[in-house]
Amino acid sequence: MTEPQELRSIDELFKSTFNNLPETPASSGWDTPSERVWDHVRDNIQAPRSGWSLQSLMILAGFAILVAVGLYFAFSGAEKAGTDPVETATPAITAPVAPVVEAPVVAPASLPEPAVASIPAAPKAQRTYTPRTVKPALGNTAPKRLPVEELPIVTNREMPHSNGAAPLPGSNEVKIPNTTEALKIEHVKQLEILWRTPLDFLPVPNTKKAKN
Amino acid sequence: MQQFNDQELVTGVLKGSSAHQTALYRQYSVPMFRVLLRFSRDKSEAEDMMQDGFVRVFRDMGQFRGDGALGGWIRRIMVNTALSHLRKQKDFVKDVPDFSVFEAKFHTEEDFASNLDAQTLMGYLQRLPPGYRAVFNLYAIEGFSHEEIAEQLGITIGTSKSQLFKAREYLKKILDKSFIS
Repeated sequence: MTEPQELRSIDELFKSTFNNLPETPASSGWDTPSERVWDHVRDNIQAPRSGWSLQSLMILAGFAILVAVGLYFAFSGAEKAGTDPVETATPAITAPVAPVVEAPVVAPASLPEPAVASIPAAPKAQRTYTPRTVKPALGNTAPKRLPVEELPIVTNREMPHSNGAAPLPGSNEVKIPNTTEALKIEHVKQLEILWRTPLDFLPVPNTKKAKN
Repeated sequence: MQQFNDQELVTGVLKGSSAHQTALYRQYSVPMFRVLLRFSRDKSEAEDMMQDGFVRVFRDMGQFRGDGALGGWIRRIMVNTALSHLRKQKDFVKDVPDFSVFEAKFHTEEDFASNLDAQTLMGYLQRLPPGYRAVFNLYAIEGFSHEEIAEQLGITIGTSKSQLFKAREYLKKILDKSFIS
C-alpha cells in the first residue's frame, strides 16, 4: 500500500482526494457546517436590505427627539398665551349686553309714534340695555316693528337702581360667569329671539310727494 | 427543499427572495465548507470564514456575469475570504525550523490508525502552520502559480516556493509515519 502512494506526489494525493469527494456530506458530519453559520449569514444579508444603518438610525432618532421637544415647547407656549390674557384682561360684565341695532323690540301699537320718536337715542359708544320682554298687543292690531332710531333704550346705569340709591344687600343681580361661553350662550339666545320675530314689509315710497 | 438551477438562483437572490437565498446556501454550503476546512486550522475557524464568504456572495451577486459556473465563482470568493482571514494573522507566513515541535501534533493513535481518507488528510493539512497550509492549498489543489500566490498573500515568489517545499516535506514525513505504523 505504501509504494503506490509514495510514487504519487504529495500534491496529487491531496488534490485527488479532495476533488473527488462525494457530493453528499459525510455521515460523521466533519464536512458539514453548523446551522448557526446560516443563521448569521441570513442576519447579515437581511440587515443591509432595509437601507438603514445604525448611524442613520441614530441621526433619525436625534432629529425626531429635536422635533418632539420643539413641538412641546411651541404648544406649551401657545397654551400660556391663549389662557392668560383671557383670565386677566377680560373685563367683568355685570349685565348682559344687548346689541342696540339688531335687537327687535315689539312695541304696543297704541303707543303714539311722536312720543316714541322724541326719546333721544343713546350714544353708540355707551353700553345700553334693551328690554326683550314682549308685551301683549292691545286689541286686534298686529304688533308693529319700530325703526331702530325709535327703540326705547334705557342705559345700563338707569336700569337696576334708577333712583340713585345704593343697592340693598342681597339685591344685587347674579353675575353671569365671566367666560366666553356665557357670552356665546347669551348671543345665541338673542339670535333665537330675532329669528322668531316676523319681519315687516318694506314701506312703499310715495311717488306723488316726490314729484311735488 | 426546492431545487433551482444556477440562473434561477442568481435571479432569485438578486430579487431578494429568501427561498432562493436558502436554496443557494444549501446547495453550495458543503462543497465550500470543504474548501475552507483546508485553509483553516479547525472547524470553528472554517465556519467563521464561511459566514463571511457567503455574506460576500449574497452582497456581490450582482457582479456575477454568468460567464462560468456559479459554483466556480462562489469558490473563488471563498478562497479569497480564507486568504483575507489568514492575512489578518500576524506573521502567518513564517518558517518553522524545528519540525519536532510540529511533528508532535501528529503522534496520536487516531492518526496512525486511520486509512488516509479525506477526513484524515484534512486533519494533517489543518495541523500545518498557516503559511505552509495556505501556499500548499493554493499551489497543489487550487492550481495557482507562485506569482499569483505571492501577489495574493503579499509575499515574494521565493517565499512562496520555500513555504511550498517545507509543507511538502512535513506532509511527506507525516504520511511516511502513518504508513509505517
